[in-house]
Amino acid sequence: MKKSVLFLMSILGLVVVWSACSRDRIEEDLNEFESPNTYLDSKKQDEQVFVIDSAGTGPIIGNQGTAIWGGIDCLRLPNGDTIDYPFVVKLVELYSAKDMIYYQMPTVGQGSALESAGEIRLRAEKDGQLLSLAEPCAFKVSMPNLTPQQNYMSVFYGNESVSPVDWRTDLSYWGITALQSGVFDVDTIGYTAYIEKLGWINADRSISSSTTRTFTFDSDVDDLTNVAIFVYLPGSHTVLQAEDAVVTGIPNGVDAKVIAIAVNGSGTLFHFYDEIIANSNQTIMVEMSSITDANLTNILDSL
Amino acid sequence: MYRFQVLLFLFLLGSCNSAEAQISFGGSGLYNLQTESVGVGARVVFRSEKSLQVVPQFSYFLPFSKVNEWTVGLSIQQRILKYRNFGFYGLTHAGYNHWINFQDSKMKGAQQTNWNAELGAGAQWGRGVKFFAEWRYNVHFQEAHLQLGLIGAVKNGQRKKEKCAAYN
Repeated sequence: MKKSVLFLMSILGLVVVWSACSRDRIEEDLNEFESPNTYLDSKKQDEQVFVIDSAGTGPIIGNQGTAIWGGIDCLRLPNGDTIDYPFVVKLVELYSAKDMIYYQMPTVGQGSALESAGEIRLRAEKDGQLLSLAEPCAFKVSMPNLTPQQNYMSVFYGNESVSPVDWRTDLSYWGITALQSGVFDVDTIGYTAYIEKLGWINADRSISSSTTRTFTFDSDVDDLTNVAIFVYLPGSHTVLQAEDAVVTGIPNGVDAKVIAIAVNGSGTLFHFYDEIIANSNQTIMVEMSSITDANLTNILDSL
Repeated sequence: MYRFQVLLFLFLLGSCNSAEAQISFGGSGLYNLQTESVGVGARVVFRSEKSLQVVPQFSYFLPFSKVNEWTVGLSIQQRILKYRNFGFYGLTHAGYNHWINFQDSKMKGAQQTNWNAELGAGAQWGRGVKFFAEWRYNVHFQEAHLQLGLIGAVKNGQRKKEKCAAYN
């Protein structure tokens, strides 16, 4: 009995130490990068500002065609007070994969990949104070789309208390009682819905897949700590972003495009691009190579 | 050629054995799983018929390997299980390490001389000349290596009387 216990303890000990092996003595120096956030921020969509100084019929129309209808009566200061003119409406439009990547706004809702028809951030301010919608008010938004489908996309709201923003449909999470349908209708612009909370809005649909895949990114030559890695699924216009060099929840069998972006200490831009079919869990070996801003932009435009 | 000579020497050494012996000599081939390096080793096993054994040993990872080094140290081996000609044991080892090509390494804090500690387990089998296999984990460098070798015993107290064929 004593020998058996010793033997089992030995095995356990070996398993523990086995998990802590190091190749430090023979590893080559890895290429190191700095955070790409400054570069990505310099490329992201500007927030459009609309000064509303009097009543009108609307809508407010963004650069990419987003239309917004709303009234001053619905807006409240943080202390609950109503407001007077003027106030400002701020809008960010992210419809292309490129813009979602620059803004680092993946389309993932509570761990599940989402099919997306676009993301917007709609905010209102009065004298620098962020406004909210009074219940039971709603703003109408229409998001441009060439081939919208009836009863297909749902209204997802962005939870900004986590990073990256997490998408969810349940307004009760914020203590709001939902009175609108929560499903996008179709109009002449594209998808239209009444939203009951300002902030990030996404026209999304959960991708049904009983099996999902994981991509793990590794490199023999590059330190991936400060590399922004994205997986784009063109079939569903889904953007996924790696956390700790791992992307999970990729629906089985879909075509995936991998794009990694980094900037070194000298400000040189680096990238890695690959196209993969997600038919298994995979370890993808990354080797970053330098690229011009114009060429990287072309790659992102062609996703 | 050099490796062949070492193996031949160990084989001949192993041919001088006795069930009564308490001292054994052995040699082994080594492979470090993390540094992907190949080496050779030699050892003396005191109390070789006892369950607790004392094993001074020497290892040398060859110059063509990624890590070229030698280590001299002492192991304590504790037999855990024994079944017929098979035996399993755990071991601890403390050693002085001389890392010859440490300057080639990018590892922070790499230095030529190091003190190492190892934990491991092994199995041996056979009569007379025994085969052994060991897995050992180097706590200092966080590396594991494998050893595969032969051990042969020499009759205790009769080495002067019996002349071993290996030295003829």
